[in-house]
Amino acid sequence: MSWLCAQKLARLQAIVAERTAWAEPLAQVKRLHGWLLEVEHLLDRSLAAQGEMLSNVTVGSRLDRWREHMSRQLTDGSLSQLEQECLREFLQVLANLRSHLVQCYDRQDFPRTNNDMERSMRGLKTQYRRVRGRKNWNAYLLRYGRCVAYAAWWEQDAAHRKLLEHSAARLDRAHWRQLRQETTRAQSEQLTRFRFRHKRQALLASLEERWAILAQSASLP
Amino acid sequence: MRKQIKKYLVTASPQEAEQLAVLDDYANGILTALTTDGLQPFK
Repeated sequence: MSWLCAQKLARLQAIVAERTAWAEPLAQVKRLHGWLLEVEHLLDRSLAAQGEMLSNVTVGSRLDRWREHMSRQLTDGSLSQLEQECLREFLQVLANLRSHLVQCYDRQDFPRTNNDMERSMRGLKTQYRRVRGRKNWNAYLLRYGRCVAYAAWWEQDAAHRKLLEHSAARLDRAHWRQLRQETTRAQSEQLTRFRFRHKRQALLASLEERWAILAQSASLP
Repeated sequence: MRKQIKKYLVTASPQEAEQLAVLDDYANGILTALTTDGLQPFK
């Protein structure tokens, strides 16, 4: 073997040896990535079989079955230490977000991902700016909160407006009050967040003032 | 923390509820400071 060939062979062997050293960690990462893809497959409406109707209940039960299946893998000793840690974290995240992840299947065109949601919000913002001629929609959003999305949805065409009239005609008053309370509370939270970001000193001062007044009359245990 | 406050609010007296509401607003602000990732509805 010539000197040049021997040199190239040695280099190739070195490269292959390095690859061998990384083979197991790479396979491990692929397995971890595979779990993500499995969950993505469960949640992605576009990946469902043709003609299959997905609902919050069906997707939720599939996700729960997957979580149970993977929880069993955590204890059967088939996974390495790192894989166990990653899977435990992944299952924890899924458990925390479970209720939010399976809310989008019962309604058509409901934004499924964060990107879809942001695109939807940008659409609302553009619509407002086009109608009102203002660049900034903060005041509008602070005043009406999530209702801006409801209004845009109900007003998008005649069919939706008719549906609104139909729904309003058979509205349960107790349910309406509960919804209104939730909406008001959520809007108030958004307002507090906005004030914390943009008028922090004023917000903190008002909180301290409220606290001082309340502390004079009562105290927490 | 906010979950705890909401839990206490159910059984709190009116005066305690007002104090807890102040604490909840403060905790909400702290949460806002901690959560800066992603596009917010308003900047």
